[in-house]
Amino acid sequence: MRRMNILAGAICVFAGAMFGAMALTLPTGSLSRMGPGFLPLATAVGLICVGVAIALFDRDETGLALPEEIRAQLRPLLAVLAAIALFALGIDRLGLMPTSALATFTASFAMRRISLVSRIVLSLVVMVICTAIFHFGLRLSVSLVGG
Amino acid sequence: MGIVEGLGLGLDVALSWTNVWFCFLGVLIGTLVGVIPGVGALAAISMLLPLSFYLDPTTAIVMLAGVYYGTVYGGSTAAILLNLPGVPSAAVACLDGYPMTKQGRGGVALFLTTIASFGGSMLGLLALVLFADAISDIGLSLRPADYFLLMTLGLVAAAAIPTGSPLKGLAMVLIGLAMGYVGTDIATGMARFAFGLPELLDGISLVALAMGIFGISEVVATAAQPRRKVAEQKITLRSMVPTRDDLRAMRMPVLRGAGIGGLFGALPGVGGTIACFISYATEKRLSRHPETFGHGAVEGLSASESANNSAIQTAFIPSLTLGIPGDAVMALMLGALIIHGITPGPLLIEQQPGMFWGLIVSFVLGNLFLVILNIPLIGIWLKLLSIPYHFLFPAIVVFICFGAYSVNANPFDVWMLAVLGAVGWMLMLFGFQPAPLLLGFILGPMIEENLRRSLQLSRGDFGTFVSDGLSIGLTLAIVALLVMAVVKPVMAARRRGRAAQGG
Repeated sequence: MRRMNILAGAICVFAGAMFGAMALTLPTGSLSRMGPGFLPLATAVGLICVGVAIALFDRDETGLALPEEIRAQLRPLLAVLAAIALFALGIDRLGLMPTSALATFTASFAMRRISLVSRIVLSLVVMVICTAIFHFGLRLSVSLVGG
Repeated sequence: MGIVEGLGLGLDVALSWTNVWFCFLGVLIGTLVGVIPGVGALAAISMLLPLSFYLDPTTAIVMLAGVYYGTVYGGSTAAILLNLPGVPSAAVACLDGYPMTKQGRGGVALFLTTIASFGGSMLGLLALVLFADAISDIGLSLRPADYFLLMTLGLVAAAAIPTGSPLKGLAMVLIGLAMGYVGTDIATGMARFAFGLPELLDGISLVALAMGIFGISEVVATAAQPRRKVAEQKITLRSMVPTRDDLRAMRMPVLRGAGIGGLFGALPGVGGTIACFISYATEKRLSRHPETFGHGAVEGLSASESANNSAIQTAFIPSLTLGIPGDAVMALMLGALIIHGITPGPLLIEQQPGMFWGLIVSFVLGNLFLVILNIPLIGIWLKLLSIPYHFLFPAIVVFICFGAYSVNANPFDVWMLAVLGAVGWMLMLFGFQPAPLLLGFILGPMIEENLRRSLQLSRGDFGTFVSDGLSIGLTLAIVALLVMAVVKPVMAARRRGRAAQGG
């Protein structure tokens, strides 16, 4: 678990360095007239320092994921991200109804051991609910079928 | 405007059909997400945020606040009956609530927590009504430097005080600040960290961030858990009737809990969970029978529930009167107000009296709804606990997508949702708490504006942050918390090193 904390610190240092490098391209200005880059740069420096401190000293194990937990979460993560990507691609091209059904179907693969029939029924139910809420209820300006 | 006049206006506003309906809807959804383990107030409110843009701002905030306090009532239900805290603050309710269930007194425990919650809420609300105006007046006399220090204190406290690693809390605050800078710099009009994407010039979408960081990782984590088989519990109304001793035992703990909760709730960055633990510990110390705690002590259960609810009410004091949210949920609600074009701050009560007093009256109404939902209708929630809620998750994912999309009708925000969801999931693996990130994101632009303004006024002199009693006190508190955040883990590491050498 110690390794996880060192990695956590390294992520902070990396993020801070990337952010700081971008902040350096902005004018920092002076103390009485701060430029747009001043606080971002300070934040980046702070993040790098905190990252170093985490890597060196942090032994707190609250909330660290166990390797088997990470493995168990990969499948739901991929299913959920694929569903979101499908939604982003489909909503303006396919329309509200097919997109919500397809995205639900994709997201349902986060769960194992469900019959194909349940997945299809679930997708159709969510499609009907979404059409009711977002098209008829909130009048979202997107066509029901087609772009 | 006096309190009586204000309450009269509030009654008018809150008792309109729309507001009553959305208040009811808010507490209903709140109870629902509180009962279901794995979905918290933050995820629920971030999902409702885009829907609330279609509402009048007062109605929107009435509903979102209802979700917030509704989750606390619902959270204790699963804690008492199944030993599963539906929300983090319900962990204390497990300590004595679950033993009561094992003794066959689960119904009584549910009844007592509902009454204690109601009592705590009303006492906290009283504090809110009494102090809000006075604190607004103080707020008007504060300088930009004081606002900068107050907000920084809130951020540092939110990072350093809750359980877990204070260093990681600080890191999350800083990452949140960094994300808050994305977009057009207000003072110079220069684009920052926008990667040439026009969609990013207005900043990262609050909805996409909140749902990505909280919604997605919660869905993923809960979907990965093995399905739990929950035995159906039967609680009859008759079994909920407490004994006279129970009622006598809870009276003082409810009052003390409300006091402790009210105090901690009003402090930025501290909040209900801490208040729960402290009021529980206080009751244990004061009790003549501390050995009963953990085995179904009515005092501990009612004190912590009362503290939790009281803290939620007083948390509205700094949020509405100073514009400084104490926790991430509050920050999200203030974000909603800002999107509606209303700036929370010392002028809010004066400029939006209908909203302020309407919200206050809606709290009374919402808490009454919650008592009805949690005592006569408890059977419905018990049924819910036995539903295989895994089926809900694909639907939640699609709702989240619609939420992100509907704000600007732009698929770009949905892509952002995917990116931020992946980032949030990864951060969760390393034990980073998402709440300080959101707080940093929302407070970031305000902190920057106030820092700039105060240094402009003082011509670059940092002395402005230690120029009077208030600012010296705030600066000292910030420094103390920062030192604690850094020293605590270092000391722990040392101690371990020494123990390892000795052993």
